[in-house]
Parts: sequence; C-alpha cells; structure tokens
Amino acid sequence: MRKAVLLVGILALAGVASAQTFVWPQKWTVAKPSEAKRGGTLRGYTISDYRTFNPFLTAEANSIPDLINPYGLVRRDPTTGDWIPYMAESWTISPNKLEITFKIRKGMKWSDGRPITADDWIMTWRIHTDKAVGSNSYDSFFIDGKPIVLRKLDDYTIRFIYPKTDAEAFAIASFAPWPAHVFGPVYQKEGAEGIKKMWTLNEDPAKIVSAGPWVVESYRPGERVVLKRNPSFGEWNKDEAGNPLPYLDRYEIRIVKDVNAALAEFLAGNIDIFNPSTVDQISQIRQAVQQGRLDATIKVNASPVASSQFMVFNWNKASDPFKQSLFRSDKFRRAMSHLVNRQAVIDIVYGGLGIPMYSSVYPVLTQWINPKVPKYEYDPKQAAKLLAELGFTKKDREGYLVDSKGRRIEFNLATNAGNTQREQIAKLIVDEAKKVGVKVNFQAIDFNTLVGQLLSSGPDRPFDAIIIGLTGGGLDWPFGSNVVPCKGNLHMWNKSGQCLDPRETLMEKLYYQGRTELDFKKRVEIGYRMQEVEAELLPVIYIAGPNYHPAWNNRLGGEHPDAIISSIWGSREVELTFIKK
Amino acid sequence: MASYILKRILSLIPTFFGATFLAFLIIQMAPGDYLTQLELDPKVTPETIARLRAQFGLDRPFHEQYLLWMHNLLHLNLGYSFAYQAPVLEIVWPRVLNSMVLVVPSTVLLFLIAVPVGVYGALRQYSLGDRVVSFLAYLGLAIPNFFLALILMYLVLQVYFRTGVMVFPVSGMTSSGFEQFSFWQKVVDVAWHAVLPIVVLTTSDIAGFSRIMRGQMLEALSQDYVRTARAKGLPERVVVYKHALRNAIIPIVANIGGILPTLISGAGLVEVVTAWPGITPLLLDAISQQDLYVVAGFLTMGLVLLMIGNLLSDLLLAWVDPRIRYE
Amino acid sequence: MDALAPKSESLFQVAWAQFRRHRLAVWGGRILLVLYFVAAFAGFFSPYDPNYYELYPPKGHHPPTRIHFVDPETGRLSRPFVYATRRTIDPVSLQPRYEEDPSQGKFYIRFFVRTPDQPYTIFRVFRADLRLFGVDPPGRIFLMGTDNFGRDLFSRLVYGAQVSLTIGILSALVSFALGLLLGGIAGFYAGRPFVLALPLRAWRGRGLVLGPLSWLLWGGLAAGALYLAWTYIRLTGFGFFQALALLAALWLAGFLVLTLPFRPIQVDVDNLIMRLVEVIAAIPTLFLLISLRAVFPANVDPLTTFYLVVGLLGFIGWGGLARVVRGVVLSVREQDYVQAARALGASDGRILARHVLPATASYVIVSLSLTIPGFILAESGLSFLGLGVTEPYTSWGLLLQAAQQGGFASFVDRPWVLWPGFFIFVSIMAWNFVGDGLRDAFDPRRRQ
Repeated sequence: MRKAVLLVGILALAGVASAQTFVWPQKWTVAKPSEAKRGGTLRGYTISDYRTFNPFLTAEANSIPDLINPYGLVRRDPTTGDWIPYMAESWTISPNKLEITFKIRKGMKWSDGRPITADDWIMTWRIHTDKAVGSNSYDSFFIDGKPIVLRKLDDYTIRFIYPKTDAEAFAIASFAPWPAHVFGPVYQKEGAEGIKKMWTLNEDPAKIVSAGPWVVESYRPGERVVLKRNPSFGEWNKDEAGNPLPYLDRYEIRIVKDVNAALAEFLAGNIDIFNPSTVDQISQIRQAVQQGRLDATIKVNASPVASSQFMVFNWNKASDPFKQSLFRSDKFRRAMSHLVNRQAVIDIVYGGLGIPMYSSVYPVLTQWINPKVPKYEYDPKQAAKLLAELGFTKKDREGYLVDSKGRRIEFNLATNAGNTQREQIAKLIVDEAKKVGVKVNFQAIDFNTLVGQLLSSGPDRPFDAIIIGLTGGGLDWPFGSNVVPCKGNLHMWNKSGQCLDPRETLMEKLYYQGRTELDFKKRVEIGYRMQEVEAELLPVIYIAGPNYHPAWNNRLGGEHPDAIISSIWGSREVELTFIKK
Repeated sequence: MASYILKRILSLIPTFFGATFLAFLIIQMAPGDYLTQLELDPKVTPETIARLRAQFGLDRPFHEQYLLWMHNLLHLNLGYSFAYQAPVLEIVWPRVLNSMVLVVPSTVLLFLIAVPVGVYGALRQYSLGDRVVSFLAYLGLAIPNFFLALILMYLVLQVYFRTGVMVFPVSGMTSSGFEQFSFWQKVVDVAWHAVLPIVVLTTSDIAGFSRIMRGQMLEALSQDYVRTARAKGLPERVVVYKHALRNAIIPIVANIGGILPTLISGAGLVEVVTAWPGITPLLLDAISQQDLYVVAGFLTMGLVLLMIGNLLSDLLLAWVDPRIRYE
Repeated sequence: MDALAPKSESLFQVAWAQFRRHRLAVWGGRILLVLYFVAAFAGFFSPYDPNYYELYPPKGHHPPTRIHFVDPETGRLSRPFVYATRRTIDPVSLQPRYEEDPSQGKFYIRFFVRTPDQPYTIFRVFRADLRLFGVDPPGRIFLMGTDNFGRDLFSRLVYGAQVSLTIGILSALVSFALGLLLGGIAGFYAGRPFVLALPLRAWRGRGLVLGPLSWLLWGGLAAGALYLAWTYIRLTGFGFFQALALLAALWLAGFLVLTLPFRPIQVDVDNLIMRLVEVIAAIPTLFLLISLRAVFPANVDPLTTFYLVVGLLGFIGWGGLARVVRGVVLSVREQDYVQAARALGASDGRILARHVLPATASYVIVSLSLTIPGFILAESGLSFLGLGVTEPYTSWGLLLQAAQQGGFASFVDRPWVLWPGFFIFVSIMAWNFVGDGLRDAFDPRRRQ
C-alpha cells in the first residue's frame, strides 16, 4: 500500500515536473541519453574578442550574453524548422491575429535562484526599446515604425500586441529575457545611463545572472572566457532520460585572432570545434585525420552558407546618362550575368566547394528556393549577343566593344579591400569581361568608404558596380525588410527613394503581402512569385558562395544527425554535447 | 640641474600637444567613423545611427572633439571605447601588460646577447667568427618577423606530428584550464607560451643592435686614450673592458630611456600571428574600426612615456659623460 | 718634382678602392646588380605574362615543372625537356594533383622564343615579345609552380621584383629628399633664426608687403588661440585648465600686441624642424603607417596605391636622415673653408649647395643603403596586412601574403610559394652588406 502511495506520489510529482520541464528531443542528437557522460570541458574558439557582458550593448554576433542565455519564449526545432514553445508552455493567438498570449513555464529559475517571471520579459523589452540605451535590437521591436507592445497579464502570462499581422511575429517573441531584479532597480533609479554602465567586462562574473545553460566563470581579456554549468538550467531542461542538462561542466572559448593559429590549435587537439572556410584548411584537417594525427570528424559540403554574394550596379548616376541607361537596361544586366563564370569562381576561389547563386534567397533555405526561375548562366556568346542588341557591335583598337558613337562599355568595379575571396571574384569578372570586350576597372576600397557609397541616396551616387554580400535575416520570410521596399536603406541598386521599374513596385507589393501572410504554404507561394519577378528584373547579379564544413574533435559526442547539420542549425546543440573520452 | 629639468619639461609641452594633435588628426582624417560599419546591418535604421552618432559626439566638428578629448585627458580620463563601451584605460592596460611579457624579456635578452656579440665583432674584426656571427645576425634581420613566426610554428607542429611532443605551444598565452593552476604553474605556463614569440622578436633585433655595439666599440678602441693605455703597458683585458667598453657603452646606456615607449608598444605583427593577446591586435582592430579614443589614448600613453624616456636619457647622459655639462 | 708626387685621389676614389676590398659587400653588390637587371627586363626573363592564367583545364597550385635531362628511352643525356601534366583531385585532401603525362610527348625547352599573344613592354615604352625561354603548348614550364589562379609564380616573382626593389629605392629617395632638405635647412640655420615679423620701423621696400602680411599671420594665430580657448570654455565650463588656456591665449595676444609694432619676432627654424621630427618619431611606426594608410582609402587605381605606399614609407622615414644631415651640416658649417666662402660674400644658397651638401654625401650614401632594406621589409609588412600594392601589380610582400593565407597547407602541400620570402631575404642581406661596405669604405679609420 505504502509503495503504491509512494508510486502515485512520485508519478504525480513527475506529472507536475513534466509540465515544468522542457525535454530536449533525442532526435536532435545522434547519441542516446544512456551514452552521454557527464562532465568535461568543451573547448571552442572565436576570432574576435568580446566587448561586454551587457546584453543591451552588444553589437556583435556570438556575444557572451548570446552564448550564456540564448533562448526566449520560443525556439525553433531544427528537425522541422517550426517554432516550438521553450520558456513558454503554450501560446494562443487572438482571432484577429494581432495578439499572442504566452503562458510562461512555471518553476524556471535564474542562476541566482530567483524565479523567472513575466516581469523579466517586460523589463528586458523596456530597456531594449529605450532609445537612450542604444540597443542594437531596438528596431526589431517595431514593425514599420509602430511599436510592438508587451503586456503582463499575471506573473506567468504575457501578451504581445502587434500593430499589424506579421509572419515574423514569433521571431520577435524569441528574444532572451534578462533578470528584472538585477536590471530593474538600476533602470528605475538611473535610467539608461545606469544600464549602460552595467556588466562591463570588468564585472565580477558571479554577478552575471543568466537563465540559460551557462554562467560566466572567468574572463581573461584577449585570452579566453570560461563558462560553467548553470545548475538552475538543469532543473527544467532535461534529456529524454530525465538527466539535467547541459552534460558538460564547462565551455571554454579561446580568443584566437588568426585563423591559421586556430587551425593549428585544432590540429594539435587543443580546440574541439573548427569550421574551415577554405580548401587549404579542409585539406589540412583531412590529411591529419587520414594520417592518424588527429581523431576528428569533418563534414565537407554539409550545406551551403546562409549568406548571399552579388554584384550590384548603380541605377542612380545622373551625372553620366550613358552609364545610367546602360546599368538600368535589362539586357545589359543579363549580359553581365552571362559573363560571370560561376563555376570558375567555385573552382578557384572556393576550391571546388561552393554553390552558384541566382537569387536573393540563401541557397541553404531549400524550402524557399524556387527551382523554376530563369537563370542567366555563364555564356559569353549570349552576353556578346545581348550587348550587340544594345548597339555594341564593333570593337575598337584595344579590343573593347564600342557602339555607333564610339563609346565603350566601361565601368568601375569595387569591393572591400582585404577580402581576398571577393577580390579574386572581381578579378575573374574583369578577365572574363575583357574577353568579350567589356572594360572593367577594379578597385579594392576600404570597407567604410564602400558602405558609404553603397548606402548613399539621391539621383547621383558615387559608384558604378560593387561586389558585396548580405547575411542575417529571418527564416519565416527570407526577404529583407530594408532591401525589397523601394525606400529601404539596403535597396542598393536604386536609392532614389522611388521605384523606377514597375517590377520593383510589384516586388514591394508582394513583399508586404508575404510579410502579412500567416499561412506558411501561401507565403512560400508568394515567395516563389517574388523570385520569378526578381529573376526577370535581375536587380543585382548573384554570383556564388562557399559551403559550410563543420569539423569537430571526436572526443565530442552528441552532434546533430547529418540531416540537420547545416549553416542554419550548426553541427550540434551545446546543451546535448558531451565528452566521450 | 633642476632648472635644466624644468626647462626641458616646459619645452616638452608643445611637443606633447603637437603629437596628440597630429595623432588625433590622422585618425579623424580617415573617412567615416566607428558607426559606419553599423550602416550595413539590415536591422539598424539610419535614425538609430544618427542618434548614436550624436551620443558619441562624432557629429561635432574636429576641433571641438579634440578640445573635449584634451579636457578629459588633463583630468586623467582617457575616454571611452565605442566598441567595448568601457573606459579606454581599463581595456588598454591589461593588454599592455601582456605585451610587456614579451617585450621586456626580449629587450633584456637583446642586451645580454648583442653587447657581447658586438664586442666580439669589434675585437676580432673580419675574422671568421665575426663573419659567421654577422651573417647569422643578418639572417634574423632579413626575414620578416611574421614570416619567421610562421616558420617556427610550422617546425614545432612537425616535431609534434613526428614525435608527439609539443615542444612549445603554437599560439596563445595560456593553456586550457589555466584558471585552475597554482600561481607557479601559471608563471611557468605563460613563460612556456612566450618562448616562441620572444625568440622571433629577439632574433630580428640582434643584428642592428650588435652592429651598433660593434661600431661603438671600434670607435672607442681607436681613441687616443686606448693607445695611451696600451702604451702604459696595461693588460689588454683591462684596456678593453675597463676603458674601451665603458666608454663605448655610454651612448647605449644613455639611450635606454628611449626604450621606455617600446615597452608598451607591443610586439607588433608577431602578436597577431601567434595569437598573443597583446596591445597590437587590439590597436589594429581599433584603427580599422575607428575606435577613436582607444587609439588616441594609447598613443598618448606612448607619448608620455617617450618624453619621460628622453628626459631620462638626457639626464643619464649628462651624469655619465663628463664631457657634457648643462647650465 | 711633380712627377714624383702621388696623384691626389678624391674621397670617392678612395672609398671605391676600399669598398672593393670588402668581399661581402662586393658580392652583395653583384647580387643586387643581377636582381635589378632581371627586374628591369622582367618581360624577357619570365616565360609567361604574370597575370596570365587558363581555366580549361585549370592550372591552379601546379608544382614546379620537372626538367628532364635524360632521355627515358635511350638513357642518354639529351636537351632539357618537360612533360605535359594531367590534373586530378586528391580524394583525401581535395587539392589538385598534377602528374606528368608522357603520352603527350616531350616538350623541349626552347630559348629566345617569341610569344606574340603575350607581348610585354620594357619601361612601359618599348614593346617586345622575345622571351629567354619557354616551351610549346600544351606543355608548360612553371619553374616555381603556380598560384591558386594558375599564374606562373616565377614570372610573378620577376615582376614582383620590379615593385619590391624599386619601392625600396624610391621610398629611400623620398626620405632622402625630405631629410636632406629639412635636415640641411635645420643644420644650416641653427642659431640663426628667421625673422617672421617686421616692426613698423622696418616697413620699407619689401617690408611694405611682408610687414602687414606677417602681422596678418600672427594676428590670425592669436585670434585662433583665443577662439580655441573660448570654445574650450564654452564646451566644458570654467575650471582650472580652462583658466590656464584662457590665460595662455591672452598672454599670446598680449605679447603679440606689445612686440609686433616694435621688435622683430624671430623663429628658430632648426628648433621647429627638430620638433617636427620629434613629434613624428613619438608615434610608433606601425600605427602611424596603418593610420595614415587608412586616411587614403579611395584608391583611384593600383598605380596610385603604389606611389602612395612609396610616399608613406618615405614620409615616415625622413626623420632619422634629417637628424644625421643636421649633425653633419652643423659641424661642417663652422669649418674654415665655409667661413672663408661666407667672408668672400657667397650667398647662403651657394654655400649650402657647393660646400655643405657635398660633405654630407658620404653619410647620406651610407644611411640610404642601410635604410633601403628597411623599406623593403616595411613594404612586405604592409602587404601582409593587405595595405600595400594591389592587383594587377604584384610584389614579393603580396606574394608572401598569399602564401601565408594558405596557412600550413603552404608548407606541406606547396612549399614553392615561399620563394618570394627567400628573395626578400637575399635582397635585404645584399643591401646590408653593401651598406656596411660603404660605411667602412667612407670611414677613414677603417682603411685597410
């Protein structure tokens, strides 16, 4: 009898507990929970030093706040890509689709033992949206200038109120909360100035409070940061066998400014994770593995990268009407696309390990890429034919195409100095263009100046063509909010402030349509249509990009199954990583 | 002597303002500013950037920025770093200390090796030994620093691959698990990591320095008083070490003051290649990001040290060389 | 009795004879002559255009072509020949591998070949297409392998020599010009200050124009100082330093008001120039170089970048030379023959040009030859950071940068990319030997 009571009691507790725990699915890792060993240190590295512990001031990717406290109410399931509740238990969407009410999981605690409640989200939101703080995330809490409002309904219920329906609504709800009991009092007393002084790199690590898997154990400037397990995390994050996560005791990140030095450390077995970006690095790793010097796994060509790379022509060049009409001409841009030898770029710049690009949608987003759009592939003869149709039929003494008035096709091509790969791409374009008779003058320009030129606005802008790339963006609607609309800051080819081509207007319309379409399938259809228009308009000429090749030392276990290793999801969940030996 | 020091300090003031002004000017002359890199971030609106710009004072005219900065400087406040959002001194000083771990031993080694080498070269001028040593010294001088570092790193790795023994670490200043080391273990760990960079640094400077020493020694040995000493019948050893060397070394010792600023200037590109967390990688970043106050603050520190160093040199020289006297 | 007196030799003749006795210096000189000669006629000595590469099939990372001297069938010595190569991808390292393919036949090395499809220019003026050696296609002769595009590294090395070696000399010349000019002026006018403001009573003749102009200059200076002090107070309120600044500005204005009409204001040029040298020397070289380089980002074309690098390096290096020149000039200035010339009424300019500057010649020559290797090294450092010359130019520093970016793969898979480092090293050593030899040659105490 007593046993039964005990059993019922335990089951009841378990039932209560399971409502309060998030179970990390075993399908997110190749290892079974019984294989996972507790303890050990994961040794990673980063190229750039950290700037601050303060989550409201960081401007970099992979900052320490992002590492120790990465998630919010929701997170994505890497096997499906869908949003799943994480720190929230569940949510409901209002009938007008403008409000989402989240029920916060009970029993979660901060690393200092205090409970995590709705106040934490409200305070974090307030501080992020305080202009005087200058947070990088400020803009993400506004849709078209109108604010998203958060309201606390009770300690464990919070409501997000959107000014309009938005496909990226959930992405906004995934922001990480920070402790109101730490930041609140300072914010109330000293406002933004007080917040800006908090959590500098000199702060005592014990005071850095987090809700995520790690807390900061120590930081040596320019050297390494050591994170250690946050026990409070394991109380509500467990694997399928009920073990608290993370398995690791520590996560150590060394700061190694030079990629060659980082590779050397990986080859010597001092770093566990390294993602090579060039064939030389991959070949070093593979040779070391084959010769038995290093026990590691490398997945070559695991997926394409989540970024784009393209050549953009300036449509606003009022001071040179000849060039302006050329750059605005469809045939000219298509001819230029025909001149880009994407395979040569992949072979020479990426050592054969890359992928050609033809659209603004990153090649890794396979569900979004429309396979049926026209592509203007490498075809110098077709390029010559199109240019001839534009009137460039003869060649002058130096071999360059001229029209009936003796004007050459000549333009300046720039990219950021110091980026060897882009400079090599530019060189290939210059050489290929010369063969057809187009004169391209290459300049390597300092990044700041380049950006200044690219983002300048008005009818006459100071560049001809620039090779550059974009990263970031969302998975729910992969078109940039400042790229597609004609008034957008990154509408790089045409910054006159107005749409010059009816297809631009059409794309803008489709962009907003897709943004407010909440049904995924319908959104994808709109996305397909957008790519069709984009391919016909060809506002920029996409080139090619490298692939993603993760590598790790075999002392690590718990990586993602091959199907979900990609540049979006990475090679593993750190929380499910363990040391095998 | 006191009035001389005072006069010297007064005359340093225009140099101080001149150099800080020049440094500030050069950094400002580069187009754009720290915030330009944010402009390509799709998430950040132009209004946010304009607001940040006003916040950082980057929209003010040049002379106002300089005056504000100088005002803070006079109150011993080096300003704030944009990138780190923390006081410049807090960021720069730990890295300077790290650099000193490389620079100080390498300078000491330099003296310890270059002086005897130079003296030997002067005494056995044009002998086989002199030529071999000169040749080796030139070797160190002629290979670019960063390249030598890479070659040494490669050799160490090759030894490791063949024998499994990591003779010296290839990068960084500390090993994994450093935090758990005892004090002495920490000292040994850092020293072990420092060997490779120090070797690279010392070898490249030995050539120049030993040549200077050699030249000085030759000069001293050809002086009249050496002839006199020899004529007096003093043993050669006394002539060389007690008379010639002492005089030869005067200008070198006097110039020790000039070493002061190099102590904080870091070990240059070697730090970048071996991933040593010194001042050079920090400054390279700051320059490329136009983190104005970090660069200006660091240069000011170097400047102050240089001026103190020069003053020290002058005083040392006056004290040591009886021929020089100041009113 | 004249016949018995030995012919008097000029300083340069003596120095030359001494130099020739210094064996290392002579060898250094010979090496340099060869390097510079080859660089001058780069087109002739390189088998391919340095920017030429093929894509079908690609020839990236091709190892140095093996030259065979023995005929495989007969086993006897034959004219040197090479084989064409076949490209495969190594399954483990994913790098291209090239194997000799005898089935395509032997390609004998031909000398004095003409390559009409790849003409070159000599000194940018004369067109030519004669090259020292080459092989018929599809054979290729890559003496030092190729880079990742497939461009012949030997040709790039030879053309790179043009840039690296001349940057050394050109930058040294810029330093030399600046240092000589400013150091000479400083030394010559030390203790003889210029008059930069004329009192009222001297406003005659030229003074009528110069006088008011100089007042304008000093007036502007005073006004500027007052404005700065006022801005300072406006921005930060009124405190100790602000009061100091105001006082300083007021003192300057008051001083000028009181002395301008009555006494001339003298400026010691020597002091000014040495201060400038001090100020520039106070800033660490590496940072000065990078900061200055960052000021000029919008490169119009690579040629301008080239001259920019030359100018920058030269600008940073003039201080040392100026000090040396100043010291020499100071000592020469008081010599008897200069005093005599002055007594005879020679103008300052004539004295400078005909008496003082030639005396500095030996010091300048030695200094130059010792700073040139420093500039070659500095250029390679700049290129390592990506701040040096750019495509389509190439320099040894740039070639090394490419080698370094490959990381350890460079050493293991492609050690031939390190040749430029060897050449930097050789040219620096050669210049150092020459410099040493020159210094010993000009030093009368080291006569052998």
